[in-house]
Amino acid sequence: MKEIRKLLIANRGEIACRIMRSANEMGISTVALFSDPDTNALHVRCANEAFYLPGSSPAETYLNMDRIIEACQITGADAIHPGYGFLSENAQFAKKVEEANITFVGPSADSIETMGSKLSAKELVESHGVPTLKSANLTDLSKDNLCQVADDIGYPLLIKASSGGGGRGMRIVENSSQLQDQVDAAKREALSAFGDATVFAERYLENPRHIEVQVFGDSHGNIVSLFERECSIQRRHQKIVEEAPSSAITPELRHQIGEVAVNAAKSVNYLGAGTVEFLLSGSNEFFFLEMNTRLQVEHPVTEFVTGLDLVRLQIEIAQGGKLPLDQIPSEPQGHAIEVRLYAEDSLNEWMPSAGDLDLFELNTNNVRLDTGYQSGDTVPVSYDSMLAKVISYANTRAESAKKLARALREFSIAGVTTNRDLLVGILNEQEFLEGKTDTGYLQRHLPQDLSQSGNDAHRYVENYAVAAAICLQYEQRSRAKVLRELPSGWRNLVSAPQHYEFLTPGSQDPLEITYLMSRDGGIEKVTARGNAIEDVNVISGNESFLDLAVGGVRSRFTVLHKASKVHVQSVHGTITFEIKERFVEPGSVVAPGSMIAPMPGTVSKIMVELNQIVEAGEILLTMEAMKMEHTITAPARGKVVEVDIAEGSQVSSGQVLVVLMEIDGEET
Amino acid sequence: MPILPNRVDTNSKEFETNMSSMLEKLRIIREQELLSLAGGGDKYVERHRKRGKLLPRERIEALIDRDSPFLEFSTLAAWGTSYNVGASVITGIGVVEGVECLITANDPTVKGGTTNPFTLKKVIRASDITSTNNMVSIHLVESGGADLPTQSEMFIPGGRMFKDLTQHSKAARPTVSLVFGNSTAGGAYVPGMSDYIVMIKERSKVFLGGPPLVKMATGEESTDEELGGAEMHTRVSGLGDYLALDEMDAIRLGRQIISRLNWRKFGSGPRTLNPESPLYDPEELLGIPSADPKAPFDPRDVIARIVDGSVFDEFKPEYGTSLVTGFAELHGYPIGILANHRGVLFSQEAQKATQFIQLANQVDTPLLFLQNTTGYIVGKDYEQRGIIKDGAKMINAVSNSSVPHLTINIGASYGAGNYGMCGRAYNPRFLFSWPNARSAVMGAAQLAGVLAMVARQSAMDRGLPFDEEAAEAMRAAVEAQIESESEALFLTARLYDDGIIDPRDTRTVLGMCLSVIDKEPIHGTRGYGVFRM
Repeated sequence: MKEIRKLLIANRGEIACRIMRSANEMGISTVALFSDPDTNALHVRCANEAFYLPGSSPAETYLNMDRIIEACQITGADAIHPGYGFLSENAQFAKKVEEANITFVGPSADSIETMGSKLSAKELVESHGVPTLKSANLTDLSKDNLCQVADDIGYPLLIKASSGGGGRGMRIVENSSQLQDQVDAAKREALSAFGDATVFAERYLENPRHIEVQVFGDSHGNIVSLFERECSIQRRHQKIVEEAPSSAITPELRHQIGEVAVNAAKSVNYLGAGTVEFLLSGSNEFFFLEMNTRLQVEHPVTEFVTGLDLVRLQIEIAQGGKLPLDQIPSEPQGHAIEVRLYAEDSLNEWMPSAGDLDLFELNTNNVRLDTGYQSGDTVPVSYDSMLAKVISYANTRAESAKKLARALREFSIAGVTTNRDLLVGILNEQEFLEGKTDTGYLQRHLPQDLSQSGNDAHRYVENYAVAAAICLQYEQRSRAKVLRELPSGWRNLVSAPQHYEFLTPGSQDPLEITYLMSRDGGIEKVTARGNAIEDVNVISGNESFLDLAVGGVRSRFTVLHKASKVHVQSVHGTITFEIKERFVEPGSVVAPGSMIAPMPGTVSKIMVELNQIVEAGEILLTMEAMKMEHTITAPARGKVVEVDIAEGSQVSSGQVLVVLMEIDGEET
Repeated sequence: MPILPNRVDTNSKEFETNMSSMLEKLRIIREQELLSLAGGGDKYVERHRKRGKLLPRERIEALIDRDSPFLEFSTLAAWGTSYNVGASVITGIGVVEGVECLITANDPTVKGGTTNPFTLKKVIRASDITSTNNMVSIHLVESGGADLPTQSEMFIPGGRMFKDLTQHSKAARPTVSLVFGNSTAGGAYVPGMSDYIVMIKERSKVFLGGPPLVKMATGEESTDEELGGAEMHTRVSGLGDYLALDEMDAIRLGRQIISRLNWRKFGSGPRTLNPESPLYDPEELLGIPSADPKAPFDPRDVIARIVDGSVFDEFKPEYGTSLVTGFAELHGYPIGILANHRGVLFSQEAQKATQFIQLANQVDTPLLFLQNTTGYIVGKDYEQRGIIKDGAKMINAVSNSSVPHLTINIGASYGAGNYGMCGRAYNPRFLFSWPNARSAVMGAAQLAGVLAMVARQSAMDRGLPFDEEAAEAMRAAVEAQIESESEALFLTARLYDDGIIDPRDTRTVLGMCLSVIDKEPIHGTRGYGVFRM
C-alpha cells in the first residue's frame, strides 16, 4: 500500500481541475503545473500549490519530463497523474517517474509502450482473439511495394501515425494516385507532431460507429469492463459528442464486446483505467482499433452510468487498492451524453479560435460542467481549444439530450467563437434522436444547417438588440462624469431618439435600434429597423442585466459590453453584436480586399509577391496557429497591391496580411 | 427630517381642471416648438439633406455624449414675429466628452442661417450664460452672416458676438468652432475669433468677400476654394486648425478637442451622492397650478415634487406666511428656496425674504425663486407702515446677493414683485417659465381700469365730456392687449426668460443648472447696500 499524500497533476485545463476534485475529496493535496500562458488559469487557482514551467510551447512545459519530475521532488509530491494527452501515454515518462520513486497514476510503462505502438498492439491483441482490421506498416516501403500493400488492404484505406492519437495525422486515401503524396504528408506530420515518422494503413470502413469500452484493472488480478461509450460524431477525427450507453449496442453485444475488451487489456496485464476502441460496422461486426492507456476525455459519461468516480478509482488502484467489484452494476444505468465545447468556428473548417472568454457561465443545477475556464479567462493559442465538457444524465436518451440542449442554449458564452450552436443543433436533430449516429453523421448533416437550427436566439435578434441598447444606455449613464442623476437622454425639446447600430455576425446590414427613455426611467418608444416595437417595458435593469417585457412576455438578459462588442445572453442563447461606432477614426478603416489574419499565429509561407495577379481560390499564404496550418486564399481574381508581412512574422487576429485589388475580365 | 406631506388630491375636480388646462397649454407650446424643429420648412430641409448635410439638431445630437441630457434655450424665440420660431439658431447646454458645454448651432435651412435681431439676442444670451457660468462654448457654424434686410437692427450691436468670443478666450473659457459650410463676411469672425477651428474638406467656406465681391472690388478672378476653402485655410492661411473629411469627422474632431481641454470643475459638488427622488409623482405638477390665474396655490406642493426626498426645512414658517422660505437639496446640491404663496408681498414677507437671502449668502448656498406674485401690497395702511422701505430691503438683498440665483415663474410675476423675486433684470443665472406663467407691470384688468380712470379724471379736470361707451371699448381693447402681452409665449419670444419648460421637467432643468453653476466655487456676499430702516 503506497499511500498518496500529495498528487502532482502533469496536465492543464479541465482535466487538471477534474483530477483535483477527486483528490480533494480524498484528502490528497494537489500540485498544479503552469506554463506562461496558463499563469492565471483556473487549474492553477484550484490547486494547493503550483509549479512554474517557463515557456509556452508544450515541449518546454507540459511535455518537459525532467522538469516535471523535479517539480515533484521540490514540492514533495509522491504521485503524478498525467491526465490525458501530453505525457499520459508516454512510456518513457512512466518509466522515469517510476525510477524517481514516484507513483504514476496509470498503467505500467510496458503496457503504455505496447499499446502505444498501434502495430504492435494490434498484433498482440489479435493473438488474444480480438478481431482487427487488415493493416500494414507503410513507413519504409518503396513506391511499388507501397501500391501493392495498399491494394492488398483495399481502398478506401486509412493512413495513421503509429504514435499518433486524437485523429491527428490521419488521412483517407480513395485510390492509388493519391497514395504516395498522402503517405509522405502523413510521415512529415507524424514526425513533426510525435517525433516518429512511422505510419501504417488499414482497411477503411465507410461510416462505422465508434464504440469504445472502458476497462479497469487492479494489481490484484482483476480486469473489468465498465461498458461501452459511443463517440461516433466526430469532426476532423475528433469526438465532439459522446454517450453511454450506445444506442447500437444490445445487452448481448455489450457482453461480447466487453469480454473482448477485457481480453485485450489482459494481454498486457493492464493496470488502471484504459479504453479499448472499436469500429462497429453496420452489420454489428466490431474491430479493434487501438487501446488508450489513460483516462479518456469522455470518462464522465461512464461515471454517470456506473455511479463510479473513475479518477478516485485510478488513485485507489495506484495506491494498490482493489476494484470495488460489488459496486459495479451489471448493466449501465440511465443515459449520459457529453458534448465537447470547443473554441472554434464550425462554419469555417473548424478553425480554432482564441482570445478573451468574456463570458463563461453555466447554471450547473441540471448538468455537469468540466472546464478549466471562467469568465474573463483568456483562451491561449498554444493548446487544445476545448473549453469545456458539458454532460447530462437522465433515465432516457431523449431526456438526456433535451436537458443538455437546453443547458447549452442557456450557457453564457461570449468572446470567442464556439461550436455551441452546432452541438445544440445535433442534440435536437431527428437522426441523432433516433440514434442514427455514425462517423458519417457530420457529412450527412452540414455544420451550417445544424448550427442554424441550434441557434434560436437569432429569431429574437431584435429583442436582443433592444436589450443591448438599453443596457448600453445604463452604462453610459452610470459612467457619466456630469449630470449622472438626470433622466437618460433627456431633452426639453425632443428632435430625435437615441440610437445604436449593431452588426451581427454574418450580416452586412446594421440593425438599428432607436429608443427614447421617459422622465421616470421607463421606455417611451423603441424601434428596431425603423419599426416601432409595441408594448416594451423595462421591469428592472442596469448596465449588465435587463428584465424586459416585450408584448407581455418577460425575459431576462445578461449583457456584457467589451470594447466594440456587446454580448447578450438570454434563454434562447447568446448573440454578440458589434457596435457600429458613431465616429470613424482615420486609419482604422480597412481597405477593401484586405486579407485578414483569422487568429493570432505565425506566417509560415508567402506564396505571392507584389503586383502578382492571382486567381480566385489561389493560396496567398499559409500561417501556423493553434498547432495547425491555415491557408489564406484569394476570394476573387485580383492583383496583389500590398504585402504587409514577411515569412516568420507574428501576426495578431484581425491584422491585415495582404491586400488584393479585384480585377474584372482579362487584365494581366 | 421634515418631509413635506402629500396634500394633492389627484381625484379632485379642481386637480382635473388644472391638469387639462395645463395640458392644453403644453399642447399649444409643443405645436409652436414643432415649427422650430421644422427649420426652414420641408423644401429647404430637403435641399440641405440632398447636399449630404446634417440638420443642426442632428449635428448637436452627434456632438454630445450618448444618452446625455441637452437643455435647449429659448426654443420659442421670435414666436409671433415675422421671423421663424426659434430665430434660426439653436442654443443649449450639452455634455461633450464629459464637459458641460454651451453649444450654438446655426440653422442653415432658415434663410441660409443668417442672423436676424432675434438670432442676435439668443446668441448674446448664450454668450452671457457662457460668461457667468464659466463654460466652454462650441459653435456649429453655417451662416451667411447678417440678415441683410434687418441689418440696421443687428449690425451695430452684433459686433458684441465677436468681442465676447475673444473675451471668453481671455478668461480661459475655450471657444471651438466647427465650420460646416459658409461662414462669410462678418460671419467669418465667429470661427475667426475662436480658439480652435475645424473645417470640412470641400464644405467650409470662410472668407470676407466672395468671388463676385472680390471681382467688383479689385477685378481679381477667384474661386470659393481659393478664397476660403478648408484645404486653403488649413494648409495656406492657417486659419483652420483641423481638416475634417466630412461632417461626422468634424464632430469627431470637436469632441477630441474638448477631451483635451483638461476641463475641471472647482465647485464643491453635490453634498449628497445618489440623492433620493421626490417622494411624489412629478406628473402631479400638471394639476397643481390653478387653471384660474387668480386662484393661488401652495408652492410647498411644487417644492415637494422637485426637491430630493421631498425634504424641505422651512425657515420662519409662522412669519410672513405669503412667502415660503427654506432649505433643501436638489440633485444633491444645497439650495435655498423663496416661493410666493397667496401672491401678495407684505412687509413681513419682504423682511423675511431679506433675512433669508442674507442667510443663504452667509453659507454660499444658491437660491431658487419660485415666482407667483401679484406684487407688493398697496394701500394707505401699508404705505404708512413703510411697504416701500421693506420692498426696498428685499430688492437690495436680491440685487447684491452674490450666490447664484435660479428663477422659475410658476404662475405670475407682476409689478415690483418681479424685481424682488429676481426677475430677468436681476440677472438670475437661469430663468424659466411654466406654460401658465404671466408677467407684466400689473394685471391686465387693473392696468386697463387704471388707464380708464386716469382718462376720466383728465376729462373731468378739463371739463370735457367723457364718452363712457367709447371708454369701455377702449378699456376692453387695452385689457386684451395687455393680457396677451403678459402671457408666457409672448414673453419667451422676446427672451424675457430662457424658455418655457414642462412643469414635469422642473427638477431636471434645475439639476442641470445647478451642475453647470458648480463649475466655480460659490462666494456669498458679506455686504449689501445700505438697508433702509
